[in-house]
Amino acid sequence: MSYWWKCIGPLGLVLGWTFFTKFKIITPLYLPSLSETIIALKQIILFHGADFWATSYRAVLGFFIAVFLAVPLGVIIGYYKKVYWSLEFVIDFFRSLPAPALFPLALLFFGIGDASKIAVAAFIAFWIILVNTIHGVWHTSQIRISVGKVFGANSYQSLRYITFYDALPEIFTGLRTGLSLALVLVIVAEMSIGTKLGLGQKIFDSYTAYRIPDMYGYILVVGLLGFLLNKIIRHAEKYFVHWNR
Amino acid sequence: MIQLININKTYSKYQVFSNFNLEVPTGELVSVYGPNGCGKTTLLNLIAGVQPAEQGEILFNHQDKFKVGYIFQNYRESLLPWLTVEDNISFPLLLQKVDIQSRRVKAKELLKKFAPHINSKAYPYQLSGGQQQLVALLRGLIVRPDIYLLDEPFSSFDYQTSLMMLKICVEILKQEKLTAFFVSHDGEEAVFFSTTIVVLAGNPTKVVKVFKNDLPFPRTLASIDSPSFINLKKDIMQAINTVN
Ligand SMILES: Nc1ncnc2c1ncn2[C@@H]1O[C@H](COP(=O)(O)OP(=O)(O)O)[C@@H](O)[C@H]1O
Ligand SMILES: [Mg+2]
Repeated sequence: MSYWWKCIGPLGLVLGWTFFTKFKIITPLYLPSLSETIIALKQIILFHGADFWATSYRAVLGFFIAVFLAVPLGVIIGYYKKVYWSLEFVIDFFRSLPAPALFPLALLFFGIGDASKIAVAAFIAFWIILVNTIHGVWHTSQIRISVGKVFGANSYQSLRYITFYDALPEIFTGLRTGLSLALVLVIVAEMSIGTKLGLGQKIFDSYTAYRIPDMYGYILVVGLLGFLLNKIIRHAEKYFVHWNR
Repeated sequence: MIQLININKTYSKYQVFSNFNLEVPTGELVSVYGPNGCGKTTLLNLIAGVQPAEQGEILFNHQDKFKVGYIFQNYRESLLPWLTVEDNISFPLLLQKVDIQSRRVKAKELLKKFAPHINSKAYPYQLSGGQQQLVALLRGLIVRPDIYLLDEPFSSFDYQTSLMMLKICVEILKQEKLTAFFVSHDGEEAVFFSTTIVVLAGNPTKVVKVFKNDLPFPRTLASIDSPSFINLKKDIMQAINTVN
């Protein structure tokens, strides 16, 4: 039953696209027909998979670097109020800083290769994961902390066995946002810094060469990548935070 | 012997205990009975060492080091939802760095002995309230405590269930020959549980009176209607009203 309902959205999208192109409501120069786009998409998938992998690799690696730094740091900063107070301004400043402003800096430090793109992706994901982890730690159940105390937990054990898990639902909120933003930043960085392989670069190349069906094909691939990453992290969340529903 | 000597405890400006004293022989099942807000939870937290007192000593057989089991007022929240039943029960052993095999063996032994109907691999949120309560109880038992603390553990249950759970609790605690402090603001529960009843009231809170409860075990629904039960219940309820 729900299966049929779920088909309505995608079907509407296809119908809408066909409608707009068939009756030339939007000029084919701007919006190619669905079949043209699908042919382009097929070519991309068959012969240009490397762009997909290059972009995925940058986004996912940047994301994981952020996770491994931000989660332990966030747990510690959230746990020690004084550490938080001393870092509050720094955290608020950097998490509010629009990351593309740092592209030139990333180029300066990491060059025009993969590293600078991975760095900006890690940067944007780092702050959002850090902030969510800190908040998660703050919302730890006081009763469960007391349980730890009663049974003799030292502060390391209390952090590792209670606070970390209590913060996990909020950490995952940070991970979801962080991963989405990491992908956004990689695409933007590829467009503005430039690269040989990468979906952002290819979208831009198709545009400047006026290969509009290709451009749409790459946009669909990027959309699919974002969709996949989101699905994966949601499954991971359901698996690791099974108690939160 | 459990001794609380000259305890002072203040929350910001509100003084809960001032030179509070209490002495109870070991092996007693003590009901701590008093109105809401008189400091019963605070008293248990002081004994458990979860909160510090400004002044005073708490001794078990003249030692200030002793082990406690504790069922918190909010027992549901006190379980760790990310751990299975067996890992919740043996959580105190994890903190003592016991290896996972021995932990699980110990937890399974306790489950087999006292709650064979609970699936050791289930998660707390898959259990009924009564089952969660039992898991919390067993978690306290696994450390072989000197003193067992129970903070209004059944206040969220309906009448029938709470009496049934109370009966199970008493049986387990008696079988393990533990000294226990059972906090309640319900006269019937307080009498049903105890061999000694400590009535608290006043401002700051004092021990108003200590009652000996010689009603025989095992206690049942029928005991509640016996004249001696009813009289004792009346006595402790009146004891509160003698203060103020
Ligand atoms: N953390 C706290 N901060 C301030 N006041 C508190 C705190 N905990 C308890 N109190 C106050 O101390 C008194 C005793 O509380 P409590 O021990 O919870 O009583 P009881 O368990 O008997 O209902 C109450 O008036 C309560 O408002
Ligand atoms: Mg209370």
